[in-house]
Amino acid sequence: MNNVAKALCLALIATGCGPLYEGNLGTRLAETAGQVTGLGPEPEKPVPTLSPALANAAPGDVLLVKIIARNAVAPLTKVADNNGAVTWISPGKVTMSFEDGILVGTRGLGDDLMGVDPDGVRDALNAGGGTATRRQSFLSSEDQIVTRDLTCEVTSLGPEEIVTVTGPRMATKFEEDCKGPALEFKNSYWMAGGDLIRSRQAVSAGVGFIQVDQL
Amino acid sequence: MQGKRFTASSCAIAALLLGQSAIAQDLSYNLYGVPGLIDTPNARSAPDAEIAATISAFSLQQRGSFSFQLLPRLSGTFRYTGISEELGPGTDGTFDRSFDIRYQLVRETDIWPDIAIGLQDFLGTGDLSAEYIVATKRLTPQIDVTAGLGWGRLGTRNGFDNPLGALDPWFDDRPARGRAEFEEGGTPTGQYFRGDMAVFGGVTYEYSDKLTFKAEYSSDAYVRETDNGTLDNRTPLNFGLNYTWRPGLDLQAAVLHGSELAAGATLTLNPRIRQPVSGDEIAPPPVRIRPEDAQAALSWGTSEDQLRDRLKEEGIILVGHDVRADTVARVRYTNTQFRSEAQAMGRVARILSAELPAAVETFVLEPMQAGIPLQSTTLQRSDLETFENRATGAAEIAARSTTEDAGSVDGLTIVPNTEPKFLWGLGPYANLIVFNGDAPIQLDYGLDLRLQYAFAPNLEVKGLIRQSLRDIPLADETEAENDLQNVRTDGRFYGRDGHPVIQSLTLAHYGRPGENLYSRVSLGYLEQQHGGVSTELLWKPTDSRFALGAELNYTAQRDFEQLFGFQDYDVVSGHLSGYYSFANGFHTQVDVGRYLAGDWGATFALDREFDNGWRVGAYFTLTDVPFDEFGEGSFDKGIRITVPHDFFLGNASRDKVTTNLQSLRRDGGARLEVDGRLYDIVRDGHTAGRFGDTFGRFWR
Repeated sequence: MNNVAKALCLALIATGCGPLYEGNLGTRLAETAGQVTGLGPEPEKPVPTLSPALANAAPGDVLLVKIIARNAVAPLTKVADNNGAVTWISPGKVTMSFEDGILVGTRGLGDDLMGVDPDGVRDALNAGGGTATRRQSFLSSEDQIVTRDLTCEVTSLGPEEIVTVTGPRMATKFEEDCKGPALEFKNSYWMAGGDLIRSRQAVSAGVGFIQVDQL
Repeated sequence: MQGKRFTASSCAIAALLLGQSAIAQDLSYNLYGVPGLIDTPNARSAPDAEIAATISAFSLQQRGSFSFQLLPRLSGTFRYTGISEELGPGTDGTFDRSFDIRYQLVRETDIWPDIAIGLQDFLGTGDLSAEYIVATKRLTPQIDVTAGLGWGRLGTRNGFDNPLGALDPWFDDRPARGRAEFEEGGTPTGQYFRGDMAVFGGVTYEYSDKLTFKAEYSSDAYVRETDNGTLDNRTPLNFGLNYTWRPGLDLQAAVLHGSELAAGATLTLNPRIRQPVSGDEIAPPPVRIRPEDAQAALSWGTSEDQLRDRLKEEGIILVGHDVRADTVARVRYTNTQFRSEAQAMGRVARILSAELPAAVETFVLEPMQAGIPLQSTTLQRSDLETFENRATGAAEIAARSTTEDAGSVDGLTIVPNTEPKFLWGLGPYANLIVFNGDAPIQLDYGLDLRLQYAFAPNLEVKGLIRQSLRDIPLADETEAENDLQNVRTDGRFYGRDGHPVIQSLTLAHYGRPGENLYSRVSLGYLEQQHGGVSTELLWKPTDSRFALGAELNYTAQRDFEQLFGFQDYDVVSGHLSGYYSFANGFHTQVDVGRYLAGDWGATFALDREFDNGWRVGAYFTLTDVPFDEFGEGSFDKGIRITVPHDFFLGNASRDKVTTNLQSLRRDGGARLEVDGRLYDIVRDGHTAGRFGDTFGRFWR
């Protein structure tokens, strides 16, 4: 077999075909290489704008979530309610769970927030400020759950006008300053009429923060 | 305490790394592929578990090195060196394998320097052999100074009498080893810290995060190379630089002896640090809470198809189910998607919470692989509902569930298998054959046709037909003159005609003959060189770190054309195997028995295992074949690395790739390479095994 024939033969089935080669390393590497070089099909991107149907959905049915570091926005719809922890799902099958508006878990983001015990965070927001504690857990590179304990100070920063997809709104901005021996972050919340209408909350070191708008 | 900041927009999450050394160290690899200056070592240690592959070259030597930081202070290096013009200008070159080991005695503090002791090329022919004790201290944030004492090669310039000679005159002289003496290699040189010693040292200057300048005084005088005229040795001073192209890739350049240019590159990777990856797993379906007014009357039978389809979406095949007294559901399934059986079980449990009638409170989950159940875990549905989003959710489920040996098939309603019985695939293969004979790197590549037919989940035929596209034959390995039956030394004859070959064609049956017992029978063309029958029995309780196995094979040597014929050599081989998984991540295996050449002996293996699926280890085999009869290398030994695909791809995948860095494969200590041995399959599902080790993925 000459070299040209060999190259052709290999290129045709370079990534393998047939059921036993589906999703193998070769095809995935080729997909990854295609995305990186821009030669392959574009990966599915979250919907950047709201369809009218979503924007007109009943209040409380849709969350608009932005992963700030990835500059990705997606509308999330409700899929489950577990004793007050509401789980929402994106079109790209990422889920996020919130308890009284406080993020308690993500799935499908890579470096996920595995679980949170937020003790008193929402109470402090409702009370106009106060102290709360959190225990957050993550999955380490070695597949072990690591938990981080934090003490958080919630303080009011006063009124602020924010612009959401439904227009400008006046809200009271709060900052939650969380410190622990191994983790520190600051979350922000915007409250209006006792409702949490926007928040910016920490997910993990690998994902960064999300901004959540309650529509 | 150091902080590492991850900036996101105007905010930052500071993940504070605990327990890090207060002193930031400048670590770079030398031309030998160990932490060091240019051609000499320093006392720095790589971060725990770091793997470093270095290639370096100057006109006289080309080195490929693989280093692994086995423990925070202990590291090992395997090196393959090409030596040009070994006996003088115009003479032939040679290749040499070498092993190093080094230990960091003292960690740097404000007062103390790092101090390390090392043995370089301590087995075998010892062409590069040296021993050293070296200290490195950070003088300023940018300047490291190193001073060391060397023996062997590192004691050949301005050497002085060994003070250890005062203890014992044995240390005074380092005997020169004659060629005949080390022809086979592979054995300890017995020269450690003997003969003259000399001083070496140097300075590194960290100009920036990326660039470090280095200068050293080397006590390796390259005596043989200088004497035979292949090296113009003008000065003991070497100068060089290390440039970090990107994290994980360093480039080196240097001027050696005032006359030679050298260059090198080091790739580093740490199994303990997951790289950011492009792919993500799709989120699991959430737990569905049972409504308070639930009616328990819903019949199970109506939703079997839906349950099967929901599981299938997660890459999980429903095998059987049993709902007893309407409150307990037993479900048997096969996970084809997730490396971690704990993660697969978490998904099965959540799907069951959505699909099963509210009255079902207890889930009994039985993961299967190779058609046999590996264990049985009992979970309470209310615990799933309570701990889904809690910080310690995985630990709570682990504490509240029980795992034991799988139950009997009795009572299970077996779900009709809708998976295709026949599977095929045509794809490329590539084998990198490294350090073989006198060729450091060879590539064998071509096409594989894979065929698979399942008579039952535990009874499968698998075949692999291979067409190599390689023109040139693999390098000849010189055959030792001995009375042993040829086994691996005949490897070069297999498939050399260039037509398609049957790499393997096997009928395999898996079974559960008793409690904690697992069995395998494989029949057919089991590997490239042998075919016949292989039987195996394994005892492994789910919570036992210890396992015991027995394997008995009767095989004949296959024809070189690798089709259906056999040669007239047949052999009964087999082993008793003991396996033990230590709590600290180390794993050991001892196999005692008879090998393919009819030789008797034992294989010892030690691996460091990471719960994310990485595995780095080494093994050696000693049999009743004498070292001089075995041939070059003296005995079979090697290093092996297993890399899980999901570590790099991010997507859920059970695939992994294992690479062996092996010394010469010869006839002694050759074990049958049958596919699908029980231990790895079984251990994946056990609490004292990867199921338990990866339980943190339950809620993933």
